[in-house]
Amino acid sequence: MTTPTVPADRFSDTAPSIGDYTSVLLQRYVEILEKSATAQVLDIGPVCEENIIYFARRVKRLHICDMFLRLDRNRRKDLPSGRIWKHLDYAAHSFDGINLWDFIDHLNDDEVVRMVSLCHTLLKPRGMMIITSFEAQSEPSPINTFVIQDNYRLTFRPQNHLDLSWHCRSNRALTQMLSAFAAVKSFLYRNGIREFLCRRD
Amino acid sequence: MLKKGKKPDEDKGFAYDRSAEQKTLRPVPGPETSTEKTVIGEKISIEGNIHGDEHLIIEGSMKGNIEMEKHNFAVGSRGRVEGEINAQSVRISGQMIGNVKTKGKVEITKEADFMGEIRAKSISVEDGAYFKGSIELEREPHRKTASTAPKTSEPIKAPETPTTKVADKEN
Repeated sequence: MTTPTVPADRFSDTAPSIGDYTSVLLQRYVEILEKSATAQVLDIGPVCEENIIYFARRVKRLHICDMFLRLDRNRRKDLPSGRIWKHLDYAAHSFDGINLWDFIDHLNDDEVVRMVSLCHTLLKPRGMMIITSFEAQSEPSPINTFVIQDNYRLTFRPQNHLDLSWHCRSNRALTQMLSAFAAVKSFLYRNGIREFLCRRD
Repeated sequence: MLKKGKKPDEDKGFAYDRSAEQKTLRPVPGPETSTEKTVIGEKISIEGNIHGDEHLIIEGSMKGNIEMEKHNFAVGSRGRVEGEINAQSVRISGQMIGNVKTKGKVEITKEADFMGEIRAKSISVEDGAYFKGSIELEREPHRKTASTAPKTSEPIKAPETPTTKVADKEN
């Protein structure tokens, strides 16, 4: 996997102020998915009407498994963290695409490794995964849904019912965790959001 | 409790006290056929299939399939349903396990706990809904790439070799 050439000084301890932005990688991802008449996509959540309609109109079948809410409930009940993975009980090679959004920002390193491994299993060969991650977030910071608008513009909507910790990582740490995948493209935006588009070999 | 939305004297054999009408009956707005509904109360459990010609709300528990293609179906916030649903439109606020098929709209509220497959013309989902399942909506017909693509179950191929790029401006 190619290591992104992000200068180290681009990362800071200050929380970025996020604003709307146009996602270059979302466009690339959607355009690839739309080429298939049988594309199946898994969205990890949070549940978002706009995103559901957006993808359900563009792929054969959209699968939703809101892992944000499941992780939140799991932690509120103080259950073992490993219990959340049972919800991703799909057959191997089920999906052409997985929308991970910023879920990994709320997982510790071991959980990210497990999540990435699961996604690798669930994706079809050459299936794609889109990941968003913040450079930094101060705690407490609200959990937001990335809401898809026209022309691949993403806005944010707070999810006040979610209370999850943040585990923001350096670019290098992230790319190492994604090393099982081939990098198609990654982007760093000035609002501190990074996007990764990965492909399963 | 089972509540009916239509006038009781219209049912043959139903003992009807006219004096009670003034106290309990209220005008039903709109066409009578579209406002008739049955509510299965929260203390009622049903096992079996239901075919209906009026709207149905489940506030209790229900195990079985529901067939009411020309009428609306709802799982109330205290309702629990396990089965297949075929209705004109469906609203889920309670617990539901099973598949939903409708030619109209499916509404999932934030109180809902849904697991199953949905096939519908349109959908609305509130933030916070506990949802695991799949959704099939009518695909956008005007999209060139989708309509011209060959029908294949082959995995999708990425068009480019891996590259990395850093945005130097805010988009």
